[in-house]
Amino acid sequence: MNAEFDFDVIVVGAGHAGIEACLASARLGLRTLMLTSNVSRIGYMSCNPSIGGLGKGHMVREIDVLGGEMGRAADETCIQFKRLNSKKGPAVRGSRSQNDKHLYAQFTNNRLHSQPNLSVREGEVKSLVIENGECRGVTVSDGSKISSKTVVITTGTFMNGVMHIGLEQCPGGRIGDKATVGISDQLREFGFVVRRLKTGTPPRLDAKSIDFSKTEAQGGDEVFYPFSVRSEARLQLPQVTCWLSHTNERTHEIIRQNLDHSPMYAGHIEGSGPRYCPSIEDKITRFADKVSHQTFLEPEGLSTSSIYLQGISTSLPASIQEQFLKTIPGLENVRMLKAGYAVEYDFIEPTQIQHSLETRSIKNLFLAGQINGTSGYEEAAAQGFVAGVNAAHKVLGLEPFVLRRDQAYTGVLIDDLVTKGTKEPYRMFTSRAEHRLVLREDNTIRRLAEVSAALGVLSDDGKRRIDHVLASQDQLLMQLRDVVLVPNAETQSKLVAAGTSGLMKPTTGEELLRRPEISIEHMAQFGVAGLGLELMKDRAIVEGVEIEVKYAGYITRQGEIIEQTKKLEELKLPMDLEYGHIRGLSKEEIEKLNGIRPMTLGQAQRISGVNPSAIQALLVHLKGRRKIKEMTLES
Amino acid sequence: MSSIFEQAGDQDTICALSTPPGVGGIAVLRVSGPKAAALTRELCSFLPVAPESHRVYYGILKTKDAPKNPPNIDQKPPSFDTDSLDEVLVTYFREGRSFTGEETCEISCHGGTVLQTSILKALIDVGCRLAKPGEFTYRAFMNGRLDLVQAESILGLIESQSKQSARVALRQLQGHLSADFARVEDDLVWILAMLESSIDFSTEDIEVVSPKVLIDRADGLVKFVDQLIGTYRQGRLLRDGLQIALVGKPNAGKSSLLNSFVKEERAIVTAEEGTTRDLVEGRLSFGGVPVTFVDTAGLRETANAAERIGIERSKAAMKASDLIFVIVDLASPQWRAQFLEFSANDSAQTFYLFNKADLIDSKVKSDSVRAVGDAGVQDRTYWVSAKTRDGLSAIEARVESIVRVSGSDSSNVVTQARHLEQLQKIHSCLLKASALIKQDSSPEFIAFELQEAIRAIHELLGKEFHEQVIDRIFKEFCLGK
Repeated sequence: MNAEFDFDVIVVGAGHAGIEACLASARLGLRTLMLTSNVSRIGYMSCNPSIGGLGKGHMVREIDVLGGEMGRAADETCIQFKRLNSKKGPAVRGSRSQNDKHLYAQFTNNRLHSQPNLSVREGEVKSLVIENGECRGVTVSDGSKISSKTVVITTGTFMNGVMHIGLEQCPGGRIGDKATVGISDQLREFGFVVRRLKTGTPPRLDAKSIDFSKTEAQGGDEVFYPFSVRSEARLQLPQVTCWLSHTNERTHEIIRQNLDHSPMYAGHIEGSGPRYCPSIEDKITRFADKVSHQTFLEPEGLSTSSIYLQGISTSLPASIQEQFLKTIPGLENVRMLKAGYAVEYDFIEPTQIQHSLETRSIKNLFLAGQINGTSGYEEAAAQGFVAGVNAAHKVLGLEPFVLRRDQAYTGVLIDDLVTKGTKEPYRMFTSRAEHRLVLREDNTIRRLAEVSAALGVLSDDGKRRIDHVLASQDQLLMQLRDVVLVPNAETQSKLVAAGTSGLMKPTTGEELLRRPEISIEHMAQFGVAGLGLELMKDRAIVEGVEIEVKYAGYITRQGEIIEQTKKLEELKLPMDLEYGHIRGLSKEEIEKLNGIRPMTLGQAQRISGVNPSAIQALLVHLKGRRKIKEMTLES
Repeated sequence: MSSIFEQAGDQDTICALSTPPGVGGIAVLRVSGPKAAALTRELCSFLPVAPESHRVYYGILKTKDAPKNPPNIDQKPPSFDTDSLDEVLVTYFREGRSFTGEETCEISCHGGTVLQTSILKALIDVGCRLAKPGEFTYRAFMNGRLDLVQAESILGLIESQSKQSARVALRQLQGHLSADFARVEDDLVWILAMLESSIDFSTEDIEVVSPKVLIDRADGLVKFVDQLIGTYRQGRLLRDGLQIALVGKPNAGKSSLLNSFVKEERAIVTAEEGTTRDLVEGRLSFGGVPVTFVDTAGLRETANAAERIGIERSKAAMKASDLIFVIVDLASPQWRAQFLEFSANDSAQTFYLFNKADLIDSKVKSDSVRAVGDAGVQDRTYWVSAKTRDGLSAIEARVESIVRVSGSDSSNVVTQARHLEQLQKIHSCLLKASALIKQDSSPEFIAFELQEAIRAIHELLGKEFHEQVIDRIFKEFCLGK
């Protein structure tokens, strides 16, 4: 490659976004450098010791199929696995693993160090090297310059980070780590809109000081569905138990009396906090009539006594935290290892980046993770992967890699950020995906296999698993369609035994499986030969087919809607479009459209503040333009 | 045929007469577009360079080549000369504050076709283009001054055939129907939002909303949508009018009855001419409701080929009609047979008119009352006379009451087939959603039905687009009804 540059891609930051960005770029063969201010904290789980959840588990699986690493790390270090909403429909289920925090970081470190093309260095980035509107590398704290063709910034909550415990505050992005100062100010100078957000984390408790007998034990699931196509369907580590306890009126009373010591309520924090992962202060204020909130006590690993108190994020002073914790059953004598705290940090309004995650105004500069206003490891990792691929594509002169909204939650995430921006930490939910019924965990491979093959990041063992899953599912589906059951005495008695009614006419296995009482497990006795013991053990394969068959009606309807919306997505907005000259657009709309420069009419439609009448005006304008073009071509 | 928006010319300044053509006290010409003031000033030199919006300016409108006077600031009575066309008032509306959303001048001139035509010609001379039918509305719509429902109601207004339907269209234009649709949207969005947050919070122990509240809200909305759908029949009748088939044996007096109705009713909307077929149409207005009578060929079994075709047509006309008037000739000895032949195929839309009631004796009258009672159609039978016009007003009142549900003057009425189609989709999705909630189904499927309903209401309100919808609407504008 070009020796003029020290590297092709520099990734600043070693959190969940940074890791995916580095690995993706290096796996595409580019000379990649990871720069982090603290190498001992690479892949650290700063907040909850878990991966996945509703909407989030989807993204972990998506980037895994594409060649990301988070799913592998989660599978390898899983100490409890649960599928959330397992009793509900397939589109709102979500995998969640609890992880050994220490082993998780260790696993990712090993991956980074064994990755060809990738160097990892400790160094504090002071500023970006920007020449003629292009990013050419970074300057580190000793003043030396490292040049590169592209730079990906994944500094998380560290940019001008300020931690709050009670009314005390100190600079920093995480307990024990310094803040990153300089980059966001420099971006501001270049005209970027930079704003503040807030997030928080709960206290960590000493397991030895907890009376678990007063709490409710919470075990993991029987069936483990690994996140990764490269993992075995077998847990690698011993599994732990979590515990459930509840706050009560006394807890709430203490918190209420001390709200004036909360930095948020005392007005010390200007940034918006996450509505969906509220602090306990927020919860008792917003849900004032609720007398109790649940909290899960989650071990942070196998070799630590540290317990994460899920659901009780707080930034009250440490003494108050200790006081209210002792009112919770089981925690009467609790010892706090680390107090909860809030972090306030800079983020870049994400409408300033493109779908490739490259900034609009500075070329070759990519942003990923919390710097774009998101919250959560999974949201960060998904962006990190996309940014890493696109930084590499930029160097290689390839088209940007963009996932569609009907293709992946990752596509929904980025499209939302880029077209709508965010006012609070953005967390993924299934409700954000309008095509939710086809974006399920169980069909991730089917959705993304082709994309992954074209991308070329995924390792060969991953590809083999994908091929195997798809071939087995196709075969199974074929058999379900081929088997025809006739209403003879034998069949009817089997059906009655299975809890359903007899047949009225010859019926295929596929049709039979659509009955609510019939599961795919029943199908072997009706002559579907592919359901041998070996295949039945592979739940991921069998379940995927079962869901496709059972929900075919809904899936087809969703598909029709996708086809309709695609028409707007296919209407490209020319980059030279002069919005100021189109009749019917308001000044605000012209400003928004000029700022965001949507690529398609569909994207334009999602921009907040762009009204339906504007979309109509654009549509009419485009048709007119097309007509004029046709006319000039004809003449 | 290409529609307006596929042609260049959206940047043109357009002009047209906006009051009804013909002789009137005054007429208003509208000039709209980026150069509205500049081009008007070419003729109305008294209009200042920077006029105030919504202010009226007074002066003489002159031909293009007339020497320019300075603006008439002190409002002196202007002088009339050979270049002068008329003494006018010009109301100026700045961009963003007019009906079309564009800079607009409204020129109030004196009535009279010749004068109006010469002013329009003068405006065209200075660079205005004559507006196509519906083009002002099209521009208002494009500039976001009207929503889709309002734009459609203007179409309704332009083509409305009766006072009643004009009133309905006017209410739509004022946004009353849009408000009803907005309520449907609000409720749908609320239900979906509640459902979605219960999915989002499903791992927390927070009950966002109880299923009972959701079911109540959904069922309430089903009722509301049902009512809206129910107004469509009435709305269609108001817009398109009522078609009534007159049937009966030859010489039962169908044509004379039709003529009596026509004579009775002074407010004839149109009288279709040239009905060379044996279907004779007459169009009237019963208390503001347009009514079309179709006089069908006499129904009788026949071997004559030409007549057979006529009878086939009659049957088709009966099928297509909203009401059927069976005419029975009481003066004929076969009146009972005639009546029984039709009452055997009775329907709720069939009315029986015993004609020539003035010619019969009391025996026949009481026999006929009994026959009607035996057939159970007494509440749909009238004794009339085409000659004396007895009983006709009672029928008119009956027809009116069929169309006009009580108090319909103030209620909103769905008139567009496009609206009906979307409302029906919403209705069926809501029913499915409500059933799924009751079955305790997984929330994503309930949400899917609601999303589909929301897409339908958005399409109805013009918030979501399919090119076809827009094409269809502009095609109607372009046809210039």
